[in-house]
Amino acid sequence: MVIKVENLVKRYGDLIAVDHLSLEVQQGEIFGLLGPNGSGKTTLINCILALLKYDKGNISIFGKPMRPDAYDIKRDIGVIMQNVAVFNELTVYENIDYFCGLYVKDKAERKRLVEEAIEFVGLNDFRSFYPKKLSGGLLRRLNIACGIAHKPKLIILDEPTVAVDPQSRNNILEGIVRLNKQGATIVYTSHYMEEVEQICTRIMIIDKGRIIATGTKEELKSMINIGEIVSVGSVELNQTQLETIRRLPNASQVEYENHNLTVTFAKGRSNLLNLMDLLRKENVDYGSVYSQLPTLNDVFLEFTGKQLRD
Amino acid sequence: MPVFRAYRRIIKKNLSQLLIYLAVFIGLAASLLSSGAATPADTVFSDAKVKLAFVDEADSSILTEGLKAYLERYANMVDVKHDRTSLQDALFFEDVDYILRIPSGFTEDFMAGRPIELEKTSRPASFSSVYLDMNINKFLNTARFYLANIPGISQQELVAQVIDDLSVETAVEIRSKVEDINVGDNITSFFNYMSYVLLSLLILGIGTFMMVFNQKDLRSRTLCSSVPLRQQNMQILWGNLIYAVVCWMVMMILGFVMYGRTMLAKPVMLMALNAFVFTLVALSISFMVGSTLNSRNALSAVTNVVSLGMCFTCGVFVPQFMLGEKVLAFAQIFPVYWYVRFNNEIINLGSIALETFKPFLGYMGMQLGIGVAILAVALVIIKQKRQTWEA
Repeated sequence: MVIKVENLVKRYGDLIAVDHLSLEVQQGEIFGLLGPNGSGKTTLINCILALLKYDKGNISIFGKPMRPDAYDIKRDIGVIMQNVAVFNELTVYENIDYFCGLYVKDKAERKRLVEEAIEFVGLNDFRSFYPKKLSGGLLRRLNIACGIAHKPKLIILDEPTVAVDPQSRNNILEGIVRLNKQGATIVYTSHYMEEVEQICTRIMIIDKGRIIATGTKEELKSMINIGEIVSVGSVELNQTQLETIRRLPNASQVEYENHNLTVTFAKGRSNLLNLMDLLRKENVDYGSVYSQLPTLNDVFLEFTGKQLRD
Repeated sequence: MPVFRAYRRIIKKNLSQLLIYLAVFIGLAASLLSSGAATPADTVFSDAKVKLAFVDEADSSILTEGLKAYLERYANMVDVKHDRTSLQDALFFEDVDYILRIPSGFTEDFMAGRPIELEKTSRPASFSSVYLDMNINKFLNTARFYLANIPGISQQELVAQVIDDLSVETAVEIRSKVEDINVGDNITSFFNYMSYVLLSLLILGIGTFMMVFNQKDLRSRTLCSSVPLRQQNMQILWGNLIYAVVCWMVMMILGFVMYGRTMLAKPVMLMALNAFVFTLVALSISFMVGSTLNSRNALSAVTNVVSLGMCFTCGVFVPQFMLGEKVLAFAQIFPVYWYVRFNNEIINLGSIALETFKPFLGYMGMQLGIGVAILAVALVIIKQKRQTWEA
């Protein structure tokens, strides 16, 4: 086991940021921590890294208790903070060299690792650039390079794709998967459910410092009673036809607004076919139709009654 | 030493800004040196003759004529009417500096060994009149000596003996350590101005690094690493110390370039020691500024306010003797005051012994005391900041 958190409580005055939270991260996982802004993800990460004092609970990493002076544990951890933490006065190369130098003393070894990190994040053409000259995406890549250059066994990424363009985001996500394939265990926090779905092997959804659900994405989706969501665009329906749709098998929710129909079906067979047959029988024309499987947002919505991005 | 390496690189990045302050100082020092070259040295002595009105009411005896002849060596005799108004006018319009009136009966009284009285009038606060007083006294005292020891000596013999005796001159060579420092005032100004540059360079350099390194995200990120906190702090401390010592050394090298061997004179070497003590105090001021501020613009402003403010108040740009009592009393809370006072006083100290040096140890002690107090405040600020982050 790489990380074990037991019954963790962290309070800021009267506010409970982390509320009796326990988790376990296994070796080789990409463990996703998903939750809206302010749900306690960063506080949890800071507690795990011993940057914050907590009120109750135990944290161990690699089987040893994690403390501010547990330098032997810290040697094997790579950290990519939510805010880009680099020196504006140092170049890309110098920044990576500085952070790598916090773990690796040997100059030749460090040089090799820095070169590899630059190559890994694709900053070869920008090695002599100062951070202020980099775009948001390149800056995030630099932030990642600073965190992974020393080849850590455990990499903790706290919202590494905030304010990043889609191309850079894909680049970053692909990089994280590659790091995992190279043997690193990853803890990835985000409020972007698509990212977490895309790369994480196990996901924990948290809100208000409490665990909402934990499991693989399939396990999480199976926890809710939504089979698929069918959306029909540019459709003209009367009240009778809407009532008929509501009576379809497995239809749990029907919304009709601005000529767009959204039908949420519980798990079951031929839900989409049943709806199409009905529209054909009723001679209803439509512009588009597509079916969507439930997302983690639907999971979050089901458990908390609010959207992930609320 | 990753923290130390980062320190060096950050200073290197800010080198151009730091060099501006250094250039200003070099400009100031160069102008001081050029003004010093035009100042005549104080080591050459030459007589200045007083304009003397010699009013003899004693019927021009041999004795008074002898006195007059003797005084002509040191004074230019000016003919003025002997009436009181003419004499007063001559003194007022500076035609004469000194009026010596020999009263009637003077020669008889003197030769008889009775007390005599000469009447003198001179311009107020005239140093040269004191010089003439000394010569008159010298002549009369020597004459009295012969009169007392050679009974029946004639006026002629007496005057001849006295003039002969007083003609003997001894060559005097002034041997003084201060003589080596022929740019005394300038080198004091050089060291005094140094406090401004040291403060500016240190606040800007150390302040920049401390401010950058204490950014919450960077600090947190570094705390996640496997370099122990104590080791990180030691690297910061060494970085600060080395930077401060390098700044001091640059100033000393500059001193050697501008003043050459004068820098090896004892008082100047003590001023260099004083500058080193001040450098350590400036280091603690910079440490506090860097630990308190979060913005670069604020740092530039604070650098100017602190360095210029202290230097104006404490007598760097305006000499301390020209500052008001209240200003000086207030200035005593700043280390610059004690630093400048040390420099101003050590250069005028004739001989440097343990007893005479004691007050100067006090001045350096005051600086160090203030430095330690500032450092303590800085450490409290840092601790509070860290506790706020961890809370």
